[in-house]
Amino acid sequence: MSALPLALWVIALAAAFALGRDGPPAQHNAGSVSSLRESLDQRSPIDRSFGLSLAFTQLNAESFEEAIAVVEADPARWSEPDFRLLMAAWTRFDDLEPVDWALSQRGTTRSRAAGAVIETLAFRDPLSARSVVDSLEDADLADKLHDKMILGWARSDFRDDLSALIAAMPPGIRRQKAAAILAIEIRKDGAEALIQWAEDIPDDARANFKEIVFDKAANSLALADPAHASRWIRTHLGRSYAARAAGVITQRWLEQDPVAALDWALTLPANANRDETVASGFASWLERNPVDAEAWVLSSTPAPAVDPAVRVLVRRDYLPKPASALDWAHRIDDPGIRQRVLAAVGRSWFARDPEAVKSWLPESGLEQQIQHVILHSRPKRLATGEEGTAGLDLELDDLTVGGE
Amino acid sequence: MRALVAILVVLSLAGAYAAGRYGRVSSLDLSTVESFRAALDDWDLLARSYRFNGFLQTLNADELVPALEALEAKRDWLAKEEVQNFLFAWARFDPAGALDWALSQNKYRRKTTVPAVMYSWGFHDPSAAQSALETLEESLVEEAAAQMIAGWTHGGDRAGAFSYVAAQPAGTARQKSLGALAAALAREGAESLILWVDTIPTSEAAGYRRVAFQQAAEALARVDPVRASHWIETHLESDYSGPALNAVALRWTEQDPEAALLWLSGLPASGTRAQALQKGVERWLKWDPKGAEAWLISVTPAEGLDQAVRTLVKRYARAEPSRAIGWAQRIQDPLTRELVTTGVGRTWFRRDPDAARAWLSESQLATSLQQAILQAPTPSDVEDDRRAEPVVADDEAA
Repeated sequence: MSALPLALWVIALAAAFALGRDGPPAQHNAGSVSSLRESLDQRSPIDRSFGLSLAFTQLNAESFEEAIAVVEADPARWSEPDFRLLMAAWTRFDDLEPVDWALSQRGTTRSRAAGAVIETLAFRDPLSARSVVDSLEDADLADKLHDKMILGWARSDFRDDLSALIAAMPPGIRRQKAAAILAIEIRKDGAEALIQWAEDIPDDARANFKEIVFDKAANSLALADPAHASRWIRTHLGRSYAARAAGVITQRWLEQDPVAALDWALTLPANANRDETVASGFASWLERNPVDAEAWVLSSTPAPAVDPAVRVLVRRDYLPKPASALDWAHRIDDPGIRQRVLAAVGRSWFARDPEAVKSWLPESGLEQQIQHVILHSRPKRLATGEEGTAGLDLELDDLTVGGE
Repeated sequence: MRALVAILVVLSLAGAYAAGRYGRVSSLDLSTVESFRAALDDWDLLARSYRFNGFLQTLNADELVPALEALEAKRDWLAKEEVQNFLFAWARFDPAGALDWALSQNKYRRKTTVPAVMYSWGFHDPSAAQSALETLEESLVEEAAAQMIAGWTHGGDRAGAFSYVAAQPAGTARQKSLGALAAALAREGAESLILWVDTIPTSEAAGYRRVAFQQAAEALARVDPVRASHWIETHLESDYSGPALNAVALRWTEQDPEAALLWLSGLPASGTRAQALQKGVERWLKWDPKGAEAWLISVTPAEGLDQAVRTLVKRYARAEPSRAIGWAQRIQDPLTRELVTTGVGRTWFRRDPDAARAWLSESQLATSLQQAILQAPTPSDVEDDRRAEPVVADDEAA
């Protein structure tokens, strides 16, 4: 055989191989539908997912009818991840039919299947997904599918249009959730992308959109890197759109490193919701880990910034352990607040157990003026004019820091 | 000779085509970490799932470290079920290591990672899983135990799982475990589930049997509501059938509301049935109000449906009182019909006496009913009443 025909034959073989490899999916064979059924029976979740993805890969447009019959025969066995695989396969051939089919289902099947198809559709064609969601009458389903649409859209190549769409949405929970989903997806591209997105929102964006984006961006960034989030938000403190962001970061940071979170919160300027941030952050730490939280207060140098945390401790103890509450109150750095809190706790205790207070006061070390207030001031009155223990709680407003 | 060459050429081309076409899936070596990394970079969900889970089928201790590195590098992009499947594979050969990793995740991720490990551990080695469960912090135990039991059941040792759950102290943890056990059994067929509940020894506390029955009814109704309804009917006389009836009503209504409500309305009258009917109609109205109303109009009014009709009356009582009164006329029990009609009419009359009066004069309502409605105090009467009340009450109301 001469060289030319041989070369042509080799090229033809290679072309045939490539055509087979890169051509349309293998035609339907009965095995893929039966392997679909077998996969559903797998006990191991790995074998199940593997079998389903393989079976779906081998189905073509015609054989999907049989596959759908398998689903319809026992829809309760199909989880949302299962439906995502199904829809990923089905929407390769047709967009509308899977949507119509999913919406024609009932109950949880409808919700799972429609969620999967809308997420898949939004990834490829967000406007079509949006028109489907907007046409739904079932408000609960529409809310769920809206989240799925935002998720698919946020992961798509059309993400740039999404922020403007969310900004234009009416205020409410849907808008908030959409901004949160977008923040999480943008952060996957790095902290700088997230920060850029938030900072590019105009300060006067409608319906507090910049504030919402800052909250969600701070939350998303702090989940991954709270120190980075704290450095970022410090450059925006005092701006109205960043009013809540420091509190959001503190809460996320507390879940990872409470001491670092609270130490950072103490450094916030007093006019940047510092007291509320310290109080709410410390309260949640105290609830989860009282030993460490109390140790942190004891190891902190008394200062106005620490006072909100101390007042959380006073409020916790004033009813069950008034003597302990008074001990804590002594640690309040601001003299005016300290006196008011000591008097409020003392009066509350005196109203419930005057004999105990009378015997305790001489040994208490409290100033004479405060002792006098405790023993002789009448509790504040209720609006109804009735005296009672509820009135004492009103006095204890002195113990509360906004935001607790 | 030429013909032979031509045949050989055609055959070789066909062979090459077939090799390319049918060999593309099977030629992938899914067992390598390289393939796993490629899966993590693949945005085609089907190809990703195929390669991802194909690798996990053979994951072993030697490949764990590089595989885990690859996984953690893509942590933000992973679906929940991908992490769960990875942990399932890991826990096959090193459950303690998998649990340590699961516990090292942040508190949000721990809620899914720890139960995923416990599912796998329960699946493969329930005895050791029980010991591990005791080391977990309290906030994680309930869900971890439930998943361990689900894995235990799917793993095949049902009797062991039954005994473990029966020995748990009463409370929310045991309720959750019973739910997980019932769901796991339901996946394997109605008969297994029913057999389990129907053979719970009478020596077990009544509370245990009641919760098991309820959880089983709920689980069975999710997968086969018709079978669940037949089963429930054999237990209607029991004092624990109420919550189970509600569960079946809700689940069946989600799947086939007409059938579910017809079944419920045909059961012997009882407070339990009325409550289940109400829940079913409310659920249907929530996701398909037009369908629910159309069905109620299409069926012959019957006392069994009174509760369902009342649900619609309640729905329209404020916004469209005339429509609500129209619905109330479909109530079959005369006393209930009168009470409901009067209640809606009076509320309407208090809020908008002119409109109510005008509508009543044109309505077909019995004169006695019209008079009963018109006896309701008007807004000005109410205002006068409020002025007469003590000031203290106003302060409290404020």
